[in-house]
Amino acid sequence: MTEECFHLKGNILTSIVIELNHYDPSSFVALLQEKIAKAPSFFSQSPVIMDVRGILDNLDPHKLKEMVTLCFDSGLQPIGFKGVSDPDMLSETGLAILSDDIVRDNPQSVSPQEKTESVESNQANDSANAATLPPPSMRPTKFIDQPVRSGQQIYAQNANLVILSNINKGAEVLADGDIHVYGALRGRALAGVKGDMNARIFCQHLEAELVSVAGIFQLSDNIPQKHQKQSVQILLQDENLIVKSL
Amino acid sequence: MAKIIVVTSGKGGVGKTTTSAAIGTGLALKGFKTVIIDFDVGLRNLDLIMGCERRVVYDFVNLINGESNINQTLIKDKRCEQLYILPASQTRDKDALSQEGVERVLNELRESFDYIICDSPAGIEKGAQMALYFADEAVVVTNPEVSSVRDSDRILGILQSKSKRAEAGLEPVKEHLLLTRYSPERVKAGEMLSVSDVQDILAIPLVGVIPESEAVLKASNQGMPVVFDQQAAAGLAYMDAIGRLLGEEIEHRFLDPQKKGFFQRLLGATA
Repeated sequence: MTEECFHLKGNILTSIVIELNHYDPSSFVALLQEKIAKAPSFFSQSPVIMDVRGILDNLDPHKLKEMVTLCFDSGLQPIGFKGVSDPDMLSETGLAILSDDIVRDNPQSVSPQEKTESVESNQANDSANAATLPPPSMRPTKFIDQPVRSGQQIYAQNANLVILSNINKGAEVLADGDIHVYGALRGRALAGVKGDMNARIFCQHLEAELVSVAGIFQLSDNIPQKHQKQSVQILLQDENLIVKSL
Repeated sequence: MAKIIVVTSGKGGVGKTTTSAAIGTGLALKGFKTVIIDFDVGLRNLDLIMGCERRVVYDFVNLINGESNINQTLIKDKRCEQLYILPASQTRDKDALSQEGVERVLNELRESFDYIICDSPAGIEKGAQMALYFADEAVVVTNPEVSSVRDSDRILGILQSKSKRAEAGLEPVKEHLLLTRYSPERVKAGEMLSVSDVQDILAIPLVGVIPESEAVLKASNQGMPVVFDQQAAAGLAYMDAIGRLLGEEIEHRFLDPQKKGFFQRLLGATA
């Protein structure tokens, strides 16, 4: 399987919003310095959005450019403007227009002590369920050669899991990706534990106490008798856990 | 330098102490200087099985606390030249065993003995973990029934993660499966797990199968380890297991239902 050029992923960014009531460079810098001095580490390199809806009457590209420079000079990272509709206004700053439906307001005002997140932005995929996305940055497959014994738990974080021996009753194996079992699966196997609904479980000998994909599980009693002790794969179809013979 | 063998199981009542007594005695009968240590502090049983309960003066906890020395504390077996017993304390509990104390005693014993057999208490708590911590090899005693197999599985996991060898990243503890109270007739009738059922789950080498035998209970009550009874299948099976522990290749017997007596079967086989 060849690796695609890129993957699309959802992301939530927490940033500070500077809501302007009026603007002149000296008072802007003074207040900025005062706020930063209270909690330098909180503000250091923080992403900042400038909400200029309060000063729309009195805007020009030069002022916006000036604000961006002043923010950078104070150690902030301005990423965009809210309230600007004309792209030409921002051409000098090189920053983004963040329209109101992208950026949702947090009614609370931010204080450094309580690190409340203020703004969500850049929701890359708007409709797709975030849960169906593959786990971030998959790591190399985890291989287990020994039997997984009662009371033991093995977790392959951000990885697929391959077990070359038995998983005994009372043992539990978990993976953010797929699980392959080449011995007998008698314990519990949970694939896609971070919500990857495309994860699957493959096993040579199904006698599991419980199987689960993306949190949707089945107990051994509910697994059809014809699949018991057979080699199967287990996957989600329309949010139902399906057992298929191999 | 002695080899330390822990006899363990997780579950209680499967035959750990009987096995410790049998293996320790068998090794001594083969000429190895052997000491059996009772780790079941508070529920001392080994001295009864070994028939030396009236000779206990000092115990393991006294030795750990420096209240007695090795010579005062070890009980020398009267039937077997090379065999010693280190009894547990009846009046204390498992918290009396400190890891440093156990290590010091084991190091002292290592110098003069060939084999140290640690008779583990049941369970997976401190006492059992202490008994297996310093082990080089483990005999996992299992009855052919599901709960015993599950507990043995659990204790194998602990051997692989919480023993000194595991923590130090040394060669892992060598594991041996010993099936006790095995009844081929009941296996045939489908009432008992078979050797292969148990091996399939535990996946460790089989060192012996001890048939269910009246001789074992009789031996325990008389304080006479069953290996002294060479008429009993159980005694013979234990001696076979000891041979395998020592690396000998011995075929497993007593695995099939037998109507005839053992000697009749031997004669039948050679005829």
